[in-house]
Amino acid sequence: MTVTDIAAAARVTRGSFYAHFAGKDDAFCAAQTKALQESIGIAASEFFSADEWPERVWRAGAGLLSYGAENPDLTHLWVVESTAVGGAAIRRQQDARTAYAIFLEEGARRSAGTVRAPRLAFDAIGWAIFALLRREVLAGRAERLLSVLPAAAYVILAPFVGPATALEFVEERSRAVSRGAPAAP
Amino acid sequence: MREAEGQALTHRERLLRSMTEVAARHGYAGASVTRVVGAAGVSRATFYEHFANREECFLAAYELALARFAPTIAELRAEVLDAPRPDLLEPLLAALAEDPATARLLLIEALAAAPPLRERHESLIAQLEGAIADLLDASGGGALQVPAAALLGGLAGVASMRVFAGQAHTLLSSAATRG
Repeated sequence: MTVTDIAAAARVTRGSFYAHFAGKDDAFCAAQTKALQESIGIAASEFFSADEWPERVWRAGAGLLSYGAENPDLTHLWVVESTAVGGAAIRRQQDARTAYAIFLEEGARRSAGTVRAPRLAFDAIGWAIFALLRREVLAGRAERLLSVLPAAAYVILAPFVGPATALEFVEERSRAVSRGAPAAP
Repeated sequence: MREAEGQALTHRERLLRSMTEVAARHGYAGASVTRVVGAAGVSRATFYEHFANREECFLAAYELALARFAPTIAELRAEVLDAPRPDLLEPLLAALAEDPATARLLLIEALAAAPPLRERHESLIAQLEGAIADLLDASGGGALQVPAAALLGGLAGVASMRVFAGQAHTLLSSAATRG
């Protein structure tokens, strides 16, 4: 893929491209940033629409996965192509994990006394979710990303509320969805 | 004849080592034939005697890295099924810490590569996930287990962050050093 390809797909001239971006990698990082800003906005708005932390996680996850499913190209760019671009794009992936860790910190606070989660645990959870997404995208199932929600929610909740409670919550929530309650906004 | 074969082997090995180091420094995207032959101290002509293009060379470097780690992984699997211990990942992490360039090739740059290497790497990941799923099944556990893909992704991801930050030597400690 070249700058000429990108400009042609956007129906602008190479001159216009360079008026906005220093080069291909710069444009790639800008697309990454746009997706991160939009997705974190959706996740935050869903997160704070509920009171209890597990439900907040479920809703934020549903919002994020729906956004990913509706924008399969951006999802592919994030979970598959970022590593290929290297350097700045990989650092941006790390920024995203740091940003999303905010939603986990509340879990850590709410379960204070039972679990003291180190930063390493947040990173591991972030990477675990990333691996689940990557697997779906590589299998060509980006449009059905929402199917990852129960597993992803379990991975987030289990370390803080315990495996049994997390399992119970996820199963109950999945049953509610199959009865027709909306999983996503 | 024998000497010529020995020489050819040395060139090939040097090229594979250079590919590993250049990819660790410049990323897969920056691992050009020019950089690889420069680092190996061989001519472009020699490079093309061994490999059709840089992708083929990268794939060979990847296979070599896998072969190096295969015994450690096999041992790990045997031990896991025998008697799981908390320090069971130590030999694998130590091997990765000893060779940061190879660690980066396996943990980061392999994800960056184009098909067919991408497919080759995905099949390795699927194999490891299968092994983890077997282990989880064997350990009994509850109805919904942490998906094997998530467990492997979490482990490999945390390790790859250290390697990417040039801190492969801290793989055996619980926290990365600052700076």
